Amino acid sequence: MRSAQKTVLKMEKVNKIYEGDPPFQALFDINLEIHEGEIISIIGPSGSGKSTLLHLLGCLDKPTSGEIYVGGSQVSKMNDDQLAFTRRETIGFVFQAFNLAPTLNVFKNVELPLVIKGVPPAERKPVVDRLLEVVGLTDKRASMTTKISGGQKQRVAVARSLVNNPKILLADEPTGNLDSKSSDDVINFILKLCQERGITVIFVTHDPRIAAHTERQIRIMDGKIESDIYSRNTKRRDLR
Amino acid sequence: MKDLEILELAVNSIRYRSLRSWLAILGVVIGVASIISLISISTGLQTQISNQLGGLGANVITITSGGGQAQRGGFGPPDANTRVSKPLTFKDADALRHISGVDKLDARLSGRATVTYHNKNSSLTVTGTEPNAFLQSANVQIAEGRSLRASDTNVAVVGYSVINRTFKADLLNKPILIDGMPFRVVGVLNASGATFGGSDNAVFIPQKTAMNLFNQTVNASSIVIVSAATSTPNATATALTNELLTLHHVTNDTQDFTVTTAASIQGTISSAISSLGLFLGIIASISLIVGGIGVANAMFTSVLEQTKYIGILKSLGATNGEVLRLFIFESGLVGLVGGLLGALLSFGASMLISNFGLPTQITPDLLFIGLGFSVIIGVVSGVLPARNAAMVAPVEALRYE
Repeated sequence: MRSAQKTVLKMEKVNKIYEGDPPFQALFDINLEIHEGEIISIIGPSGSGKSTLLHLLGCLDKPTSGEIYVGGSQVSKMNDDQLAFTRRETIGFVFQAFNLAPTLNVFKNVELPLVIKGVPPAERKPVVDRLLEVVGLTDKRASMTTKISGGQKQRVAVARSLVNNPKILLADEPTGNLDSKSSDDVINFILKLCQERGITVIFVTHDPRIAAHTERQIRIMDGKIESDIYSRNTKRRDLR
Repeated sequence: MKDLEILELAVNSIRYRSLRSWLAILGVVIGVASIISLISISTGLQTQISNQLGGLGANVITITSGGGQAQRGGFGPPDANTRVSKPLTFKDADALRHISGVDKLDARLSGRATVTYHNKNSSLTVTGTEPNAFLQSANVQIAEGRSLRASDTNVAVVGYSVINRTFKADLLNKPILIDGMPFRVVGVLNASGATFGGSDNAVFIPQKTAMNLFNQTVNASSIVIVSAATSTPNATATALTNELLTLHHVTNDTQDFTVTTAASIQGTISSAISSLGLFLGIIASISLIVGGIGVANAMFTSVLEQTKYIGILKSLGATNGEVLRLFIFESGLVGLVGGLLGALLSFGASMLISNFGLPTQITPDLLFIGLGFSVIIGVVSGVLPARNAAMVAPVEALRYE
């Protein structure tokens, strides 16, 4: 039944070695296939290689060997610009550290991916306004991001990651810096928005509460996939 | 991403780090302001001096007694190898009249004389001039009344300042005394504004009358030649020099007269001022370069500070080229704003300098050069930091704390 779905991300024998003295191998022969609309969590202890995996899937980094396909395109054949175009068209990111632009206000942060994409201002405004409304930050639209709370920051980041209508959302410890109430809010927003739009979501997390709400859990240990489990029994949508 | 939107992001970055941005801008402001105002001094000096030399007339050649090399670029009092001078004579003048390239010749006889009007005395330079050559040889125009005529005897044409400063009275058609001899003022000259060879303070009378007044019929004070349009002043000057060398039986080394063209004086002074301008320009450039280093420093810090932001932009799909442009625009903007403010400041500075008596002149060219220079300095200082920024790997940049 899964195999009938379209593959959006695929890894074949992917190795990642960080240069250094001594060199450090973060990933070993990873094979992975991710389908359209899946909600996945990648779990594992610190240093297991899960963030490396996410960076590779997000075209932020290139593998040392092996092949990655994003929406059918072969990442190793792309130059820097093509990687950038793939990120702007296909992928949304939510980071643990929020990674908002301190120089811009809330509205402009959410708008930024559209600016980079070259969408005309008149078309950008309704999209950004709608997303800010969904994440409940309409009244903060003119605030600088340094002046809002952590939970609000992460909601800005979620809105920003989805403004481009990506095919894939990659969330790296999105609740790592949040209290439990804010965590729930953020996870709810991500799940709600992505399910509505059929966006594939990959969480990298320590938090078993998040993992519990995903339908597929990939456990990484020492740079290898230890387990890859589909659970039907997810508690999606009733996090509160 | 459109350039205009990259520019907007750059403006946001500059505003976000406003204090440091302003410090970098200040460096450029000082550099540009000093370059423009220092060069404005040399431009001002040049303009002032060429205005003052304008009184000589570009095609006027003056021959005076006494050796010297003015024709070849010397200026100022005759130097140590000045020979005992043999005076110029009216006979010399008559011999030169027929040299090719001579349009008009004015053998002048000048001296200090006491000019009296209504019991007020003033010692002025009185010049006997040949009426038919006068207006051109003195390079003047009549403001009121008329010029001298060949048939005139005891009449005078006076300079602008003689009326407006010396006597503060309308002398036109009024009787005056020159060393006790009665004259009638028939004309007043336009203000020349010139301080070298100017006519503003002079009184001009017919040559023949001056011979009587000064009791001198052999020696002329100077011979002023108006070069013909068919020849260049320099060529005419050479012809005159050669003829006089023969007449006076002297060689180049024992030359006992000086031939001066307006161009030769102007050339000498201009080259001196150009050197001054170059010197001032170099000093000012140093300050602009220091300003540029300030911009580069600010940009390196900015790139370092914004490493994470670069990572964010890249994760959102910005290309290396877009990041490069963002930082170049940022430093270019610092240069531009610095240049604009510097240009404004230079107006104030040059006004201040003018108050101290140094002439200054800010030309549009100078402003554009100053502005262009500041933008170029900004961009050039930004290139290296911006390249660093563009080349950062997105993962590295995001990891940066």
